[in-house]
Amino acid sequence: MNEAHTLVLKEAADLHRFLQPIAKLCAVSETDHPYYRKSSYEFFSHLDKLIGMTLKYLEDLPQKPSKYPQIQRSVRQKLQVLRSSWGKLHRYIKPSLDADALHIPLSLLDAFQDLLQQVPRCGEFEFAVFQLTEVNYAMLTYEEVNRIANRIAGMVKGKEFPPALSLVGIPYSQSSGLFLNCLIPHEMAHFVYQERVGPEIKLKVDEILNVYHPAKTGTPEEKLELSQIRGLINTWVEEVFCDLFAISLIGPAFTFAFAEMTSAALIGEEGQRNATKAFDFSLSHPADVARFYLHKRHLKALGWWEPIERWKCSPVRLLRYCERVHKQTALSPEINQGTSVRLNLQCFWEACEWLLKFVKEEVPSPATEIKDFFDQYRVISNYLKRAIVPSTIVTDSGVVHPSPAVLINSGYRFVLEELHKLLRNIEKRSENSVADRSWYTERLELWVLKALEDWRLLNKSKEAK
Amino acid sequence: MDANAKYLTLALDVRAITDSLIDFVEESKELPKADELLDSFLNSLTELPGVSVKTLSDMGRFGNYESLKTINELFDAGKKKELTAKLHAVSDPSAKSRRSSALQAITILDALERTALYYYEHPGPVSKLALAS
Repeated sequence: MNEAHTLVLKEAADLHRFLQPIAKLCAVSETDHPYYRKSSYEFFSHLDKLIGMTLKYLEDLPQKPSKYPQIQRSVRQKLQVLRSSWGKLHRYIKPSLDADALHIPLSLLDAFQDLLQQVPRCGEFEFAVFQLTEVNYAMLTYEEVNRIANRIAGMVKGKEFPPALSLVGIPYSQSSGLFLNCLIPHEMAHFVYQERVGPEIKLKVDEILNVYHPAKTGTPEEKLELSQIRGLINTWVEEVFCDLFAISLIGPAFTFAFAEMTSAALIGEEGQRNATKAFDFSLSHPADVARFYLHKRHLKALGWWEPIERWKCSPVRLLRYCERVHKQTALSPEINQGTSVRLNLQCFWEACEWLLKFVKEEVPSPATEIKDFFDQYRVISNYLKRAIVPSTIVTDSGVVHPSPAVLINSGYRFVLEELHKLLRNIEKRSENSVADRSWYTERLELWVLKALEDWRLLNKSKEAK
Repeated sequence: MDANAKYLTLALDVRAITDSLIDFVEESKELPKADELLDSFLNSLTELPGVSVKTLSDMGRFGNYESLKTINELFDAGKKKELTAKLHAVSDPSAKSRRSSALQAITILDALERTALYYYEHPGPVSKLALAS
């Protein structure tokens, strides 16, 4: 055996040793405690098989010593890229194992998944959940998990990653929450973008970019700048698509959650352009002010604006404010100067005009949900004011089980506009107490989550009949 | 998306091309006739005087900022031409010294894969310039 091949075997054995403990973690049995959602089992099962194939590939290496030194070196390089790829997937295994059924907002996730599966071409989509240590929400893009897993599969002759499965990360502390978790549909939408609509949207962006950046002779640096401009516009447009999609799915609750997450209520209060980064288009996201402006446009187009425009809460004021000032947005200084000089934000605004129409056409109109919300939110408020779970309510038209979008938005409306009424109904509780407000907001979230769970059960029993 | 992950996917894409070259050398397996990945890569190596959205779009997965920057940093115009010639020779059944061209291309591609992996493993000034998405 030559020295080069001995090195290949040594490095293969090192990688084998690295993967063995990971293989044990991925071998999750559906009959053991703790329990997971079906999609999480699918994720673990895929990794379990893929790691098995990787170990087999490594074990088979001694049978194929190459006589070419170039290939021997290349195989060592391949072991390195395999290690890095498994190192990348390694990051998500423990956070996914931590997200068992007791540590995720199960009923809310089920409700979101049901809503998503009603969207044309998304009927098969499923989401495994993992926990994030950051107070943030994230979807692992195709590039971060699926493609890496598939490239590993290509190297070790494994199977493709389940095509309809993706991973959504939520803060580990928010398993019992409702309101902030209304950001999850935005993350789900990233998968829809990548798997379904991305190519069409990117084509449109290229068409618009062609107008602002027509073909010309130029240096390699200019080519690099154009690639950055194209990357930035596509990144921002994808974020806006996900916002609009989330609003189509669950209504203004997404905007309210986003306003809470970004502490955006302060934007309008400060009133000074330079006092906040909310006006800046950054390397990863469009300006918050631009996003809220587009939220308002979409809410209006769908018919949600009418029921909420008279609310006195800060997110509604924020939407009005952002509509007035959205033209004051600009590029963040973190974007390099050469690119900043050439990037015309009008490309983004033109793409968004097209996107507003595109999302309205692609995602079914929630017209019945809005009408139901109009008809039912006052009744739901009356139930919540008396600390009653609004699973079944009595309206003018009879007995109703409010749908998830109606429940979530009515719950949000109640906490924004009427929480004081609940506190006044309870002895020794004060609407001026932060602790009482926090405690009863949590209770309120649990009541709505219970109603969501009941809705699923009631609907299933209705379907069974 | 974690901007740095784009360097890992670049390394993995390059590896997919390299593996097909290894299969050609070791098992006489011809490169696939219509290989989108290889075509995109060859487009990214082509030095055109024009700067346009279309040229970037033709580069497919290699038209993003991170890939272009890594390729340009590692290969000058001459090296790009050399690699293109080697890859074309392997694809052409009538070309001479196909095996030798494949072995040389493997060595050049390994350097690109190594650099992409380096940027993935060592987030630094280069990746700070990169885009998140």
